[in-house]
Amino acid sequence: MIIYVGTTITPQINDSVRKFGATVWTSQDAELLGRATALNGLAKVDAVVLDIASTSSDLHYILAQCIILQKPTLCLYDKKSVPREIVNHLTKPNVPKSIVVKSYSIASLASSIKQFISSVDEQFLIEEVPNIKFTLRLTQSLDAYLQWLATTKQINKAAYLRQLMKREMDQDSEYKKNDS
Amino acid sequence: MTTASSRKRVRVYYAGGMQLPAQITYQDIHTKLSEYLVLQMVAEADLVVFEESVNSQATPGSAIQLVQRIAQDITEHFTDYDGFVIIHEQTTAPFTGSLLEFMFDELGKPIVLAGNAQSSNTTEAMLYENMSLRANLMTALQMAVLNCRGVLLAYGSHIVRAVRAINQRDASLGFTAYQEAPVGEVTFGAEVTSGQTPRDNTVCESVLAVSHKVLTMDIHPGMEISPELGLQYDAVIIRGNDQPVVSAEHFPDNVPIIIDAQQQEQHNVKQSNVVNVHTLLLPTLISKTMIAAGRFTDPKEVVQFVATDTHNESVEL
Repeated sequence: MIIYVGTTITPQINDSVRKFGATVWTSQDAELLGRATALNGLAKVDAVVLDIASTSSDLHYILAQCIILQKPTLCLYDKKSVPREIVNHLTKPNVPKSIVVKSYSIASLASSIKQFISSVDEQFLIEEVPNIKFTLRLTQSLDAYLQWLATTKQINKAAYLRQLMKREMDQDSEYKKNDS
Repeated sequence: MTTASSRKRVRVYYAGGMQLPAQITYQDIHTKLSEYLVLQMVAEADLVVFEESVNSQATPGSAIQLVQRIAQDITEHFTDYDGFVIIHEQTTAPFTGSLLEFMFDELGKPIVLAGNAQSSNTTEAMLYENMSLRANLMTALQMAVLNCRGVLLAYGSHIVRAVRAINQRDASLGFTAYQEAPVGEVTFGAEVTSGQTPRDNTVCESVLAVSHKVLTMDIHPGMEISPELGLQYDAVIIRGNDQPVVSAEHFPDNVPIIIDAQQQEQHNVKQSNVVNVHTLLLPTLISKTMIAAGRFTDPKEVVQFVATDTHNESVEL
């Protein structure tokens, strides 16, 4: 699943989306869109997460495109600081149901995002239990890299490799054709 | 008057280009377009629908009058809005955009044309055709409030100046900018590219005169230009790339003649009412000639205006 995350004032939002295994695109990832297209880049993502308290100059534009594309969109704001104007706008009766507005605290953020992701794709978050043993021989440089990841980013090495493979699997259109 | 901290305001004009039922009223269009403004999300938008834009039997003359009316309205409301958007069909947008560009000697804010992207056979474009007007309209609204100026076309992911626009005839691209960077680009957001001239909210000078009576002819062997053409037309444009230009004695002196031919060395006409200009894209050349012929009665002044690069419109063809 690819989720576009807009400019946020709370870095935990990006981390929370990544934690659930989704591929995160931001405004820095425009080169991933490939050749120029009439479709806004948001058409290529599965869902959008926006921090509507952000002062990004294109927040309203991105929201408008989400509405036009009917893209599932989670609009988050810190409950301690409510952006009244935009919340009032988004809670009008003619706003499509694909636009979800939620306040968050740091404690509730992860569950709000998890709930949103599972509403977009129920299958995405069903966790398969890894129970097939697989021995992999690594080169010294690859092992050094994994070790560095484990130390600096506090990541379980095997979990990291599983996430990497899952991402590739999700983006492999040829595999999906065969699998179906 | 708009301020930096207040909500942005955009004036939106409908100039045709939507596929509409035959018996549609002004109010129907107004209602439809109000929905498309998506809850006024990007900016506070005031919608203007002139009666003549509802008329499905528009002629070239009435279309130009509509453009003049829009330009006059923009001039009158210049200080009230951050920018201006015109809903317009794609094929003739470079022509209308160029007309507007030359009507404004100085324009410190953006005027953005947007509309349905042209259809294509690709699945992506067919999918997009259903939402292209709304998506392009949002892009136009966004560009109208950003730090840029001039007359722009927003029909896809590249936002370009009208006087340098090349129609890609493909809904996936819209227009590209000829020999310059686009003014804006759409990836996820819509942004002004670096190096663009910033806006000046105080600057607006317009001259709205336009001549409808401009004749375009293709160069061919043995062609003659009758002096009577000067009585019927305000200017003549002669186009041709490979054919030699006709000799001087075939040119009357009572009408401005603009030659659009690359074989400049074969053009040895020294008359002051004749000029060779092959550095403008065709819609730009025609619209600039119409503006010049509307402003000036002296053929010398008409050709001089056309030959002078006034809006950074000249290209290497």
